Amino acid sequence: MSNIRPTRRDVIRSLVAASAGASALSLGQHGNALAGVAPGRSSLSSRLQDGNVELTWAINALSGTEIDLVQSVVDQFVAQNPNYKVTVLNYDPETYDQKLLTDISAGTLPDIFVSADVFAKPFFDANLTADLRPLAEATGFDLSLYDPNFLALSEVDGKIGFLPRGADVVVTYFNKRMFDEAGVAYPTDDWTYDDMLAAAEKLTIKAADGTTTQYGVDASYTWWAYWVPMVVAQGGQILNEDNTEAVFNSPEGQSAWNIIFTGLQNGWFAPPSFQQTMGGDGVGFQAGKAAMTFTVRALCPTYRALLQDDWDVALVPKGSASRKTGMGTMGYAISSQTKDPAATWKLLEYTFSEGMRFFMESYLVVPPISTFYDDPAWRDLPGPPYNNDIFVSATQDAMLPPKLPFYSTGAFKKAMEDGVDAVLLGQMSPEDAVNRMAQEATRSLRM
Amino acid sequence: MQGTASTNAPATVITGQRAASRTRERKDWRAALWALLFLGPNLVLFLMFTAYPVGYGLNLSFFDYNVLTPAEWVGFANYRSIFDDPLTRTLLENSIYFAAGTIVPLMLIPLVVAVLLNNAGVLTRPFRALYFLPLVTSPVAAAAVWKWLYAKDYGLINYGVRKLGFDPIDWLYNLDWAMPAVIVMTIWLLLPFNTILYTAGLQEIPRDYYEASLVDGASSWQQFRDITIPLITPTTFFVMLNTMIGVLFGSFDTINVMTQGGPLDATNIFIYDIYQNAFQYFRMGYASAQAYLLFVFVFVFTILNWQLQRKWVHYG
Repeated sequence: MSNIRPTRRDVIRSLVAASAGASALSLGQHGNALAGVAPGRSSLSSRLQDGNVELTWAINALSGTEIDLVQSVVDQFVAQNPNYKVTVLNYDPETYDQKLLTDISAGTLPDIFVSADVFAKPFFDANLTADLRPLAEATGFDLSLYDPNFLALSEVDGKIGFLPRGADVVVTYFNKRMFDEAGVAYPTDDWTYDDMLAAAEKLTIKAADGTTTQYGVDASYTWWAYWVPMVVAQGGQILNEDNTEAVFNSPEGQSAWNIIFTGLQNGWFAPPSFQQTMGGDGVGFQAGKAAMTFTVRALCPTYRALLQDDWDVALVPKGSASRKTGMGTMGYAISSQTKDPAATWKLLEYTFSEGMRFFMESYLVVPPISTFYDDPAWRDLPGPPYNNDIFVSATQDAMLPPKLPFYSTGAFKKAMEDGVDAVLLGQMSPEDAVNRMAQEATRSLRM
Repeated sequence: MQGTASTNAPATVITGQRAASRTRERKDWRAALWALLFLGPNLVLFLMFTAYPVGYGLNLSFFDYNVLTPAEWVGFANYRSIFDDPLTRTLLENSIYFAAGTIVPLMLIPLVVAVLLNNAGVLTRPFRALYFLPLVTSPVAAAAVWKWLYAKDYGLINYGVRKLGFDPIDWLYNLDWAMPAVIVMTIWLLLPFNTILYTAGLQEIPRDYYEASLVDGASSWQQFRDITIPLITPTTFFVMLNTMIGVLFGSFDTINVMTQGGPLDATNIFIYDIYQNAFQYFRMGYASAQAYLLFVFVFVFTILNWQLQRKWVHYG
């Protein structure tokens, strides 16, 4: 029989090896789990204990107001339903999709979370969201009251992925003081992109040392809701029939991008470097450094809080072929993994009935529910903005986002950003840049 | 027949030796168990949060996986795609540029600073506090401040540039200057840590050498050149490797805040592209493959340096 006894080092070495082996074994098992989304686990907190319901609700606060709003809705709901405990989770809007992916991977998806038009289909495909239609029908919640344009954005094969919170259309925001000081007439329903460029030139102010102290426009140039309607308004198209090729490098598409490049190259539009320093696209407007921006109603609470000057809204400019603006919606979805869908639905139903008042009164949303279109709760709110009709009339020219595969949206956007950078840095002519953007966008569609 | 020493020894001696051996082995076992007890928590954490994710990442690199749809086995396709991607060459060039641009200054400047701090007399402590401030600063916060320093219209650096009569430069939005701007910020951020390492290394150099050199009439520069530099080479070697690993793997936060890899990928290095592929394009498998290739690259470089160190590192 051997007299060899393991030393201390041998013991530790073998234990480490055993642990590594165990890791490899579980890795192999978990590798099989990659064959599906994270194995079925219940949502983070929803559970039924003696009739009590615990829920989590994740929001991606584009505006600090939303956190308070949702909390107000929750507080009111819980006051009426004391067996509920609801935790509101505030996810950073910049990394919201990443946080959601992390939750998905960990099986900790909140019971209610923010979804949007571009997420409706991918979330259904991945079995993340519950179909709200049967839940609504069970309680008699009338979905037909919704504006069909916006409800359609949440619908996939007849299933409702989320309830739209707002009827979001992109409009023009303009700083009245800057327009008055420059002697430029306010935007009208008839103004065109040429008018907008001319106004931007007059509204741009440079100091003696060449520093720009005020830009004509600060917008999110590569956001689909800005440039896609511009291309269509100029008579162009974005994608081909089967969405496999980007075709916005047509002459019409080029003319749309030339509007953006003209503004940027002449220094009338805030450049990407300025936007980066300021902390994002359009922040220059709220900081009083730009006269115009183009965005949705959800930014109203932020502008009201931060912009000292008076401002108002107008329709986006007309193109050579038509007027088009971006339309979309965000809303709240119920996780397919929620323990008690009916209990979770009860909170969501409250949010979109009695709770809707909080959202309307906050300036955050234009209600997507037709019965609230003329509700004085939001129509008669003191300005700014003063011209609330614009948010409704703009829907007549609204268009939906291009249907991109979920995983290509990041690469698609980067193609646009690189194109803008290439022109501004003198690496490419605008025409070559747009062609390259279309080429890269096509590549991202086929990823 | 000649036996071994043990077989020729008297029985009592052999019994005593075996008893002593068994006692030592028992103590060995007990010591091993104590070691496990103290190492255990760290080992568990290491396995859970380092070893397992690293192994999982390797597994993931052989799949096409975007989290939302089922993973698909693709073998080495991700690795082949990396070599076929024209961006890979840009990433490699940028990573080498970034590494070389930070490693060399971060080997030289901290050494000089450490030597000066060592001989600053009563000013040693206040100067040390000043130099070590970046060490206690969050990299993200520091990057945000530097972004403002570099701002074209409102930045402090361009204020100085204008005062000198030159045109302001959009540092972070310039193909030629973006990477140097990020390098300067990274050097500022990592300087204190390397200074600490060199300060510790300088303490290891026996004072006798300096005293002997003084007797021989050596000047300060001669002391620095002929004593300090050769004898600090072990620290220099560690600083070099540590800095390389730190900048290649740990610079994501500063690049994300300052440039997001732009403009036009001018500051895009592997670690940032891995993040983009994983969390913006949802190409988890591809990003994992990139991470492993980066690891191999750094590992090979480290091994090469281990072999070369014999030629220039002096231990003792």
